[in-house]
Amino acid sequence: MTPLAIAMMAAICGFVWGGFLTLLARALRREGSKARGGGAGARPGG
Amino acid sequence: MALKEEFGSRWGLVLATLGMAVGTGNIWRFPRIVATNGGGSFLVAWAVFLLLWSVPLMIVEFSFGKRARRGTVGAFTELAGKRYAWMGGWVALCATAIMFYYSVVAGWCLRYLAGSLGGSLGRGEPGAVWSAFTSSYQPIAFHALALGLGVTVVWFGVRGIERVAKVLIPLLLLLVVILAVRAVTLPGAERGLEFLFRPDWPKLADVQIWLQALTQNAWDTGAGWGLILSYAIYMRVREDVPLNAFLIGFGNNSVSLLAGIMVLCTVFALNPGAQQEIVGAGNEGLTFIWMPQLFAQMPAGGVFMTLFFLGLSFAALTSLISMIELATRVLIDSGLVRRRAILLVAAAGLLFGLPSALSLDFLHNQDWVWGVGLMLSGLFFALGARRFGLEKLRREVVNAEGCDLPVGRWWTFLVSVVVPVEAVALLVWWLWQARGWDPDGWLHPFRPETVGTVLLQFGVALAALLLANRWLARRAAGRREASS
Repeated sequence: MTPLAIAMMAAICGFVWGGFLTLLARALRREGSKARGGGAGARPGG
Repeated sequence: MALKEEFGSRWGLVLATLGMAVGTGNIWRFPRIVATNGGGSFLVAWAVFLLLWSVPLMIVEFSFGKRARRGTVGAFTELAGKRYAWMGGWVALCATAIMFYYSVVAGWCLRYLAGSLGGSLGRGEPGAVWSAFTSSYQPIAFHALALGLGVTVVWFGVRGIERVAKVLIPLLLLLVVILAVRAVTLPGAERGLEFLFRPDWPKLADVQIWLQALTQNAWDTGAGWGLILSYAIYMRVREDVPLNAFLIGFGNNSVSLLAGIMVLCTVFALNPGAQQEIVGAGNEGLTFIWMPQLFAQMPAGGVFMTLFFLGLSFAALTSLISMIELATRVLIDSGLVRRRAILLVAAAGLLFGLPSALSLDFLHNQDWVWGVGLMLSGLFFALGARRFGLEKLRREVVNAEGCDLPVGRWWTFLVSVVVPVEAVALLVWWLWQARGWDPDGWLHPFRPETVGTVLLQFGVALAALLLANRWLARRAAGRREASS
């Protein structure tokens, strides 16, 4: 593979898979804190 | 309105919605489109439209379902106003018309799963099995089987959908990962990765690449179809909207990327000389003609072929279930009990799927017409949200209690300006392109893929919905009053 293709693979896979895993980790953390009764995460009005 | 049914957990909702989003389009369309549109350059545009089309519309759909707690017709009636019930009717009609032929497609997947288990695929002339299958009456039986499986799940309500999603979606993700790892470890697979990821920078100036990338997002994420809305009805009261929408959008595109790696590495490793022919063979040609041939050349190919068609069947069935639920929910809102509504949807699905089971031309016609119709559905969601008030929707539903990732005003801008522009651009571009497919008969209303057939079917559907608007709104309102 050419260096350009490798760089592009890292960028796209990093964005899509990295994004998914980061969001998943955040959701897991939020669910964990809600289960412990610590944070409802309520932010009306945003 | 007090609903007895709701998802038992966030993960039930997320997995069911991910199952809706991940369908055959991720596995058989994405690899072909990326291969024929500039590889890495296409991927840049595809990633951009995940954020400019899919996620904003998913947030709209989640918030419509969560706020109205009713199907598409009831939700548009309540949020956009009684004069716009027909828009919800259009969204329901589009998704239901797709359900009619999608259960035929799911049936093909089941037939090929059975064939791969029996060891009858990948031998002899490419296409021989496919031709014999599609010219027989077998597609009707597999259409009925797929529809029967989907209806059985929906029969048990949202808890049935949740239970099935919790099993099938993790398995589907595992299968796609296994197949992708097998593909990248084949000798010569790096040529497939090079082809998939190497950017062709001048192509980024080609508007067609951007419109293809936008189309792929519109067709394979399920945003703007009304299916997310139909599941969001059963969200828990303090459930998050934006983080779930991002999670499903990124999750769906993660599967697409894995499928692209799996298919292109397999093609380039096992038959590099015929890669143009294979990726140019269309969705059915790639999946049902070439993939069995390629798996047959692989060590332990029978096992991997079975895993491939198992994954494809899971993807198709979980999407089909969401379409059945959408139609069922609209009927429930109009006053039917769930089981009677499901039986009506099943009977209609069986009957109206028959022409697609018997004729590929008919199926392609429906795929073309209602695929374009989805762009109009996306536009209607954006317009409906504007009618309700985007700032109000953002404050009162999107960023309400339970929100884990509040969205800013950028979302209201995207939904009010960018999404409508994208939808109109897609509609115009696809219809303009279709003129070139049949230069002499592009206005012919009874040919499979012409502008004329779109105009005819859209015209009849829109006229009927507009004429029935008062009735639709009254049915939705009547149900609301009866249940409150």
